[in-house]
Amino acid sequence: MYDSVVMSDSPTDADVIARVLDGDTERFAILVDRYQDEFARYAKYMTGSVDEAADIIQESLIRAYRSLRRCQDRANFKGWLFRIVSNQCKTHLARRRRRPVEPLSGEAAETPSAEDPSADAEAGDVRRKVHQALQELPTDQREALVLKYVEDLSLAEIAEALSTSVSALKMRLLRARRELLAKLQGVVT
Amino acid sequence: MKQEHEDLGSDAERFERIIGVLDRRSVRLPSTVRAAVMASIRAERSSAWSRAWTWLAAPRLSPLAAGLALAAGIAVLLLLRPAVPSGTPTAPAGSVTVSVRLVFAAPRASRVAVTGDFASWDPKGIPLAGPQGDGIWAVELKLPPGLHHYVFIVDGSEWQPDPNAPSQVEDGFGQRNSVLLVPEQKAS
Repeated sequence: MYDSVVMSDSPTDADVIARVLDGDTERFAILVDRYQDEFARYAKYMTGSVDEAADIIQESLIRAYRSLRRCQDRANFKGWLFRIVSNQCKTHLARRRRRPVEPLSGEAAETPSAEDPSADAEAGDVRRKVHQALQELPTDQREALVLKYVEDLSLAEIAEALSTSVSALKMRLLRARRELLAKLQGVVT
Repeated sequence: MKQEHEDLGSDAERFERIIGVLDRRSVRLPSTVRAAVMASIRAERSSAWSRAWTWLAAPRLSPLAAGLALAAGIAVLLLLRPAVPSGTPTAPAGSVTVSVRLVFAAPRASRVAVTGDFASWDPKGIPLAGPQGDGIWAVELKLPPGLHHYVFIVDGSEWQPDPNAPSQVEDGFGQRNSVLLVPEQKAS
Protein backbone atom coordinates (compact mmCIF):
# COMPACT_ATOMS: atom_id res chain seq x y z
CA MET A 1 0.00 0.00 0.00
CA TYR A 2 1.09 3.53 -0.71
CA ASP A 3 1.20 4.50 2.96
CA SER A 4 3.89 1.98 3.74
CA VAL A 5 6.02 2.61 0.68
CA VAL A 6 8.93 5.00 0.83
CA MET A 7 8.93 7.49 -1.99
CA SER A 8 10.86 10.69 -2.56
CA ASP A 9 9.74 13.57 -0.35
CA SER A 10 7.43 15.31 -2.74
CA PRO A 11 7.11 13.61 -6.09
CA THR A 12 5.74 15.79 -8.84
CA ASP A 13 2.35 15.03 -10.30
CA ALA A 14 4.07 13.88 -13.48
CA ASP A 15 6.25 11.45 -11.47
CA VAL A 16 3.24 10.02 -9.70
CA ILE A 17 1.27 9.65 -12.93
CA ALA A 18 4.14 7.79 -14.57
CA ARG A 19 4.30 5.38 -11.63
CA VAL A 20 0.55 4.82 -11.64
CA LEU A 21 0.54 4.12 -15.36
CA ASP A 22 3.41 1.74 -14.85
CA GLY A 23 1.10 -0.32 -12.68
CA ASP A 24 1.76 1.10 -9.23
CA THR A 25 -1.85 2.20 -8.88
CA GLU A 26 -1.60 2.72 -5.13
CA ARG A 27 0.40 5.85 -5.89
CA PHE A 28 -2.78 7.47 -7.09
CA ALA A 29 -3.53 8.04 -3.40
CA ILE A 30 -0.85 10.75 -3.48
CA LEU A 31 -2.88 12.67 -6.03
CA VAL A 32 -6.06 12.06 -4.07
CA ASP A 33 -4.46 13.47 -0.93
CA ARG A 34 -3.05 16.37 -2.85
CA TYR A 35 -6.23 17.51 -4.57
CA GLN A 36 -9.35 16.19 -2.88
CA ASP A 37 -9.66 19.24 -0.66
CA GLU A 38 -8.22 21.61 -3.25
CA PHE A 39 -11.45 21.65 -5.24
CA ALA A 40 -13.85 20.88 -2.40
CA ARG A 41 -14.69 24.52 -1.70
CA TYR A 42 -15.37 25.15 -5.38
CA ALA A 43 -17.62 22.07 -5.58
CA LYS A 44 -19.39 23.10 -2.39
CA TYR A 45 -20.17 26.52 -3.84
CA MET A 46 -21.31 25.01 -7.11
CA THR A 47 -23.68 22.51 -5.48
CA GLY A 48 -24.52 24.25 -2.24
CA SER A 49 -23.73 21.16 -0.22
CA VAL A 50 -20.63 19.61 1.30
CA ASP A 51 -22.07 16.13 0.87
CA GLU A 52 -22.71 16.67 -2.82
CA ALA A 53 -19.27 18.24 -3.17
CA ALA A 54 -17.76 15.10 -1.65
CA ASP A 55 -19.65 12.91 -4.12
CA ILE A 56 -18.48 15.05 -7.02
CA ILE A 57 -14.85 15.09 -5.96
CA GLN A 58 -14.92 11.32 -5.40
CA GLU A 59 -16.41 10.64 -8.83
CA SER A 60 -14.04 13.12 -10.48
CA LEU A 61 -10.98 11.44 -8.99
CA ILE A 62 -12.18 8.02 -10.15
CA ARG A 63 -12.78 9.38 -13.63
CA ALA A 64 -9.36 11.00 -13.60
CA TYR A 65 -7.78 7.65 -12.78
CA ARG A 66 -9.68 5.93 -15.58
CA SER A 67 -8.58 8.57 -18.08
CA LEU A 68 -5.11 9.17 -16.70
CA ARG A 69 -3.44 8.10 -19.91
CA ARG A 70 -5.26 10.95 -21.63
CA CYS A 71 -3.72 13.59 -19.38
CA GLN A 72 -1.27 14.90 -21.90
CA ASP A 73 0.24 17.73 -19.87
CA ARG A 74 1.12 15.80 -16.77
CA ALA A 75 2.75 18.83 -15.16
CA ASN A 76 -0.67 20.47 -15.28
CA PHE A 77 -2.59 17.57 -13.78
CA LYS A 78 -4.27 20.05 -11.46
CA GLY A 79 -5.79 22.02 -14.34
CA TRP A 80 -6.82 18.83 -16.09
CA LEU A 81 -8.46 17.53 -12.92
CA PHE A 82 -10.24 20.83 -12.40
CA ARG A 83 -11.89 20.50 -15.79
CA ILE A 84 -13.14 17.06 -14.79
CA VAL A 85 -14.49 18.44 -11.49
CA SER A 86 -16.11 21.35 -13.29
CA ASN A 87 -17.80 19.05 -15.78
CA GLN A 88 -18.95 16.76 -13.01
CA CYS A 89 -20.48 19.71 -11.18
CA LYS A 90 -22.37 20.78 -14.28
CA THR A 91 -23.59 17.26 -14.99
CA HIS A 92 -24.69 16.93 -11.38
CA LEU A 93 -26.53 20.25 -11.47
CA ALA A 94 -28.25 19.39 -14.73
CA ARG A 95 -29.53 16.15 -13.23
CA ARG A 96 -31.03 17.79 -10.20
CA ARG A 97 -32.36 20.82 -12.07
CA ARG A 98 -35.89 20.31 -10.88
CA ARG A 99 -34.97 19.81 -7.27
CA PRO A 100 -35.35 22.81 -4.95
CA VAL A 101 -32.16 24.73 -4.31
CA GLU A 102 -30.85 24.39 -0.80
CA PRO A 103 -29.02 27.34 0.67
CA LEU A 104 -25.31 26.99 1.20
CA SER A 105 -24.72 26.70 4.90
CA GLY A 106 -22.91 29.67 6.42
CA GLU A 107 -21.45 28.01 9.46
CA ALA A 108 -19.89 31.20 10.74
CA ALA A 109 -23.27 32.87 10.80
CA GLU A 110 -24.73 30.05 12.82
CA THR A 111 -22.42 30.57 15.77
CA PRO A 112 -23.19 34.05 17.12
CA SER A 113 -20.82 35.44 19.69
CA ALA A 114 -21.98 36.24 23.19
CA GLU A 115 -20.91 39.86 22.84
CA ASP A 116 -23.51 40.96 20.33
CA PRO A 117 -25.75 38.12 19.31
CA SER A 118 -28.20 40.37 17.48
CA ALA A 119 -25.48 41.87 15.27
CA ASP A 120 -24.10 38.43 14.54
CA ALA A 121 -27.54 37.10 13.75
CA GLU A 122 -28.09 39.95 11.32
CA ALA A 123 -24.75 39.35 9.66
CA GLY A 124 -25.54 35.68 9.48
CA ASP A 125 -28.84 36.42 7.82
CA VAL A 126 -27.15 38.58 5.18
CA ARG A 127 -24.54 35.88 4.60
CA ARG A 128 -27.20 33.25 4.07
CA LYS A 129 -29.07 35.44 1.63
CA VAL A 130 -25.91 36.19 -0.32
CA HIS A 131 -25.10 32.50 -0.59
CA GLN A 132 -28.70 31.76 -1.54
CA ALA A 133 -28.60 34.38 -4.29
CA LEU A 134 -25.36 32.91 -5.55
CA GLN A 135 -26.98 29.49 -5.78
CA GLU A 136 -29.78 30.95 -7.87
CA LEU A 137 -27.45 32.35 -10.52
CA PRO A 138 -26.98 30.48 -13.79
CA THR A 139 -24.26 27.86 -13.40
CA ASP A 140 -21.72 29.56 -15.66
CA GLN A 141 -22.13 32.87 -13.85
CA ARG A 142 -21.84 31.29 -10.42
CA GLU A 143 -18.75 29.40 -11.51
CA ALA A 144 -17.07 32.55 -12.76
CA LEU A 145 -17.85 34.45 -9.55
CA VAL A 146 -16.66 31.60 -7.31
CA LEU A 147 -13.38 31.23 -9.16
CA LYS A 148 -12.83 34.98 -9.09
CA TYR A 149 -13.95 35.96 -5.61
CA VAL A 150 -13.68 32.78 -3.55
CA GLU A 151 -10.83 30.91 -5.19
CA ASP A 152 -9.13 34.23 -5.94
CA LEU A 153 -7.86 33.21 -9.37
CA SER A 154 -6.70 35.73 -11.95
CA LEU A 155 -8.74 36.35 -15.08
CA ALA A 156 -6.13 34.53 -17.15
CA GLU A 157 -6.22 31.52 -14.83
CA ILE A 158 -10.01 31.37 -14.90
CA ALA A 159 -10.14 31.76 -18.66
CA GLU A 160 -7.72 28.88 -19.07
CA ALA A 161 -9.60 26.70 -16.58
CA LEU A 162 -12.90 27.34 -18.33
CA SER A 163 -11.42 27.11 -21.82
CA THR A 164 -12.65 30.55 -22.76
CA SER A 165 -11.15 33.90 -23.66
CA VAL A 166 -10.45 36.64 -21.12
CA SER A 167 -12.79 39.04 -22.96
CA ALA A 168 -15.63 36.49 -22.90
CA LEU A 169 -14.94 35.87 -19.24
CA LYS A 170 -15.11 39.58 -18.45
CA MET A 171 -18.54 39.74 -20.04
CA ARG A 172 -19.67 36.71 -18.08
CA LEU A 173 -18.44 38.26 -14.85
CA LEU A 174 -20.13 41.55 -15.63
CA ARG A 175 -23.46 39.82 -16.19
CA ALA A 176 -22.94 37.75 -13.04
CA ARG A 177 -22.19 40.80 -10.91
CA ARG A 178 -25.28 42.63 -12.17
CA GLU A 179 -27.45 39.57 -11.65
CA LEU A 180 -26.20 39.08 -8.11
CA LEU A 181 -26.72 42.74 -7.30
CA ALA A 182 -30.27 42.58 -8.61
CA LYS A 183 -31.05 39.52 -6.50
CA LEU A 184 -29.74 41.22 -3.38
CA GLN A 185 -31.54 44.52 -3.86
CA GLY A 186 -32.67 45.60 -0.43
CA VAL A 187 -30.63 42.92 1.35
CA VAL A 188 -27.22 44.53 1.05
CA THR A 189 -27.32 48.30 0.81
CA MET B 1 -10.75 46.22 -6.40
CA LYS B 2 -12.99 49.25 -6.87
CA GLN B 3 -11.40 50.02 -10.22
CA GLU B 4 -12.22 46.49 -11.25
CA HIS B 5 -15.88 47.11 -10.58
CA GLU B 6 -16.16 50.48 -12.27
CA ASP B 7 -18.58 48.92 -14.71
CA LEU B 8 -21.09 48.67 -11.87
CA GLY B 9 -21.10 52.43 -11.32
CA SER B 10 -22.64 53.39 -8.00
CA ASP B 11 -23.22 49.72 -7.17
CA ALA B 12 -19.50 48.95 -7.02
CA GLU B 13 -19.23 49.43 -3.27
CA ARG B 14 -22.39 47.43 -2.65
CA PHE B 15 -21.01 44.59 -4.71
CA GLU B 16 -17.83 44.61 -2.68
CA ARG B 17 -19.83 44.35 0.51
CA ILE B 18 -21.60 41.35 -1.00
CA ILE B 19 -18.45 39.47 -1.90
CA GLY B 20 -17.01 40.46 1.47
CA VAL B 21 -19.38 38.08 3.24
CA LEU B 22 -18.54 35.04 1.09
CA ASP B 23 -17.23 32.12 3.07
CA ARG B 24 -13.64 31.50 1.98
CA ARG B 25 -12.71 28.92 4.56
CA SER B 26 -11.22 25.77 3.13
CA VAL B 27 -13.38 22.66 3.03
CA ARG B 28 -12.05 19.37 4.31
CA LEU B 29 -13.77 16.33 2.90
CA PRO B 30 -14.23 13.23 5.04
CA SER B 31 -11.62 10.48 4.77
CA THR B 32 -14.29 8.26 3.27
CA VAL B 33 -13.72 10.04 -0.05
CA ARG B 34 -10.12 8.87 -0.26
CA ALA B 35 -11.09 5.39 0.87
CA ALA B 36 -13.86 5.16 -1.72
CA VAL B 37 -11.64 6.37 -4.56
CA MET B 38 -8.87 3.91 -3.77
CA ALA B 39 -11.33 1.05 -3.25
CA SER B 40 -12.81 1.75 -6.66
CA ILE B 41 -9.37 1.83 -8.26
CA ARG B 42 -8.38 -1.46 -6.64
CA ALA B 43 -11.62 -3.08 -7.79
CA GLU B 44 -11.10 -1.88 -11.35
CA ARG B 45 -7.50 -2.97 -11.31
CA SER B 46 -8.51 -6.40 -10.11
CA SER B 47 -11.21 -6.59 -12.73
CA ALA B 48 -8.80 -5.55 -15.50
CA TRP B 49 -6.34 -8.27 -14.51
CA SER B 50 -9.17 -10.76 -14.41
CA ARG B 51 -10.24 -9.81 -17.94
CA ALA B 52 -6.66 -9.94 -19.17
CA TRP B 53 -6.19 -13.41 -17.73
CA THR B 54 -9.47 -14.57 -19.26
CA TRP B 55 -8.40 -13.18 -22.60
CA LEU B 56 -5.01 -14.84 -22.45
CA ALA B 57 -6.43 -18.16 -21.33
CA ALA B 58 -9.32 -18.32 -23.77
CA PRO B 59 -8.67 -20.22 -26.99
CA ARG B 60 -9.43 -18.05 -30.01
CA LEU B 61 -7.56 -19.25 -32.99
CA SER B 62 -6.22 -22.55 -34.04
CA PRO B 63 -2.44 -22.72 -33.82
CA LEU B 64 -2.35 -22.61 -37.61
CA ALA B 65 -4.56 -19.54 -37.86
CA ALA B 66 -2.65 -17.84 -35.09
CA GLY B 67 0.56 -18.60 -36.86
CA LEU B 68 -0.78 -17.20 -40.09
CA ALA B 69 -2.03 -14.08 -38.36
CA LEU B 70 1.31 -13.50 -36.80
CA ALA B 71 3.13 -14.29 -40.00
CA ALA B 72 0.86 -11.92 -41.85
CA GLY B 73 2.11 -9.49 -39.23
CA ILE B 74 1.40 -6.89 -41.78
CA ALA B 75 1.77 -3.56 -40.10
CA VAL B 76 3.61 -4.94 -37.12
CA LEU B 77 6.70 -5.89 -38.98
CA LEU B 78 9.07 -7.65 -36.75
CA LEU B 79 12.59 -7.48 -37.92
CA LEU B 80 13.62 -10.40 -35.85
CA ARG B 81 17.22 -9.81 -35.36
CA PRO B 82 19.11 -9.70 -32.09
CA ALA B 83 19.89 -6.20 -31.09
CA VAL B 84 22.56 -4.80 -28.87
CA PRO B 85 21.12 -2.51 -26.23
CA SER B 86 22.14 0.93 -27.33
CA GLY B 87 20.65 3.49 -25.05
CA THR B 88 17.13 2.44 -25.86
CA PRO B 89 15.05 3.95 -23.09
CA THR B 90 12.61 1.09 -23.09
CA ALA B 91 14.80 -1.75 -21.91
CA PRO B 92 17.08 -2.16 -18.92
CA ALA B 93 20.77 -1.97 -19.73
CA GLY B 94 22.20 -5.36 -20.51
CA SER B 95 18.87 -7.00 -21.22
CA VAL B 96 18.19 -8.85 -24.43
CA THR B 97 16.06 -6.86 -26.81
CA VAL B 98 14.56 -7.45 -30.18
CA SER B 99 14.24 -4.90 -32.95
CA VAL B 100 10.61 -4.31 -33.77
CA ARG B 101 9.43 -2.16 -36.62
CA LEU B 102 6.01 -0.54 -36.24
CA VAL B 103 4.34 1.10 -39.19
CA PHE B 104 1.15 3.12 -39.38
CA ALA B 105 -0.68 4.55 -42.38
CA ALA B 106 -1.73 8.15 -41.82
CA PRO B 107 -1.37 10.16 -45.03
CA ARG B 108 -2.93 13.30 -43.59
CA ALA B 109 -1.17 13.32 -40.24
CA SER B 110 1.47 15.91 -39.53
CA ARG B 111 3.05 13.73 -36.87
CA VAL B 112 2.61 10.27 -35.46
CA ALA B 113 4.03 8.76 -32.29
CA VAL B 114 3.64 5.49 -30.46
CA THR B 115 3.21 5.00 -26.75
CA GLY B 116 2.65 1.97 -24.61
CA ASP B 117 3.79 0.09 -21.58
CA PHE B 118 7.31 0.16 -22.98
CA ALA B 119 7.19 3.98 -22.83
CA SER B 120 5.38 4.30 -19.50
CA TRP B 121 2.39 5.50 -21.54
CA ASP B 122 4.15 8.77 -22.11
CA PRO B 123 1.50 10.97 -23.84
CA LYS B 124 4.16 12.45 -26.10
CA GLY B 125 5.19 8.98 -27.20
CA ILE B 126 8.06 7.92 -29.39
CA PRO B 127 7.91 9.70 -32.76
CA LEU B 128 7.56 7.74 -35.97
CA ALA B 129 9.50 8.86 -39.02
CA GLY B 130 7.58 9.86 -42.08
CA PRO B 131 5.46 10.10 -43.88
CA GLN B 132 6.92 8.24 -46.76
CA GLY B 133 5.39 8.73 -50.19
CA ASP B 134 2.44 6.50 -49.44
CA GLY B 135 1.65 8.11 -46.11
CA ILE B 136 3.37 5.42 -44.09
CA TRP B 137 5.01 6.28 -40.79
CA ALA B 138 7.48 3.93 -39.18
CA VAL B 139 9.70 3.50 -36.17
CA GLU B 140 12.05 0.81 -35.02
CA LEU B 141 12.02 -0.03 -31.33
CA LYS B 142 14.17 -2.33 -29.27
CA LEU B 143 11.87 -4.22 -26.94
CA PRO B 144 12.35 -7.08 -24.52
CA PRO B 145 10.55 -10.31 -25.35
CA GLY B 146 7.00 -10.59 -24.09
CA LEU B 147 3.62 -9.01 -24.57
CA HIS B 148 3.46 -5.27 -25.11
CA HIS B 149 0.41 -3.03 -25.28
CA TYR B 150 0.57 0.14 -27.35
CA VAL B 151 -1.37 2.73 -29.32
CA PHE B 152 -0.44 5.30 -31.93
CA ILE B 153 -0.84 9.02 -31.26
CA VAL B 154 -1.83 11.02 -34.33
CA ASP B 155 -1.10 14.75 -34.36
CA GLY B 156 -0.38 14.73 -30.66
CA SER B 157 -3.87 14.02 -29.44
CA GLU B 158 -5.71 11.28 -31.27
CA TRP B 159 -4.99 7.86 -29.76
CA GLN B 160 -5.59 5.01 -32.16
CA PRO B 161 -4.93 1.30 -31.87
CA ASP B 162 -2.92 -0.29 -34.61
CA PRO B 163 -5.50 -1.56 -37.13
CA ASN B 164 -3.03 -4.13 -38.38
CA ALA B 165 -1.99 -5.56 -35.06
CA PRO B 166 -2.78 -9.26 -34.66
CA SER B 167 -4.92 -8.50 -31.63
CA GLN B 168 -6.33 -5.76 -29.48
CA VAL B 169 -7.53 -5.71 -25.90
CA GLU B 170 -9.62 -3.40 -23.79
CA ASP B 171 -7.40 -1.43 -21.52
CA GLY B 172 -9.84 -1.32 -18.62
CA PHE B 173 -10.46 2.38 -19.20
CA GLY B 174 -12.90 2.09 -22.09
CA GLN B 175 -10.28 2.22 -24.83
CA ARG B 176 -8.49 -0.44 -26.84
CA ASN B 177 -4.81 -1.23 -26.96
CA SER B 178 -2.96 -3.09 -29.64
CA VAL B 179 -1.02 -6.11 -28.49
CA LEU B 180 2.41 -6.98 -29.74
CA LEU B 181 4.10 -10.27 -28.95
CA VAL B 182 7.84 -10.05 -29.12
CA PRO B 183 9.21 -13.61 -29.19
CA GLU B 184 12.34 -14.84 -27.49
CA GLN B 185 15.36 -15.01 -29.75
CA LYS B 186 16.86 -18.42 -30.24
CA ALA B 187 20.57 -18.63 -29.79
CA SER B 188 22.26 -19.19 -33.16
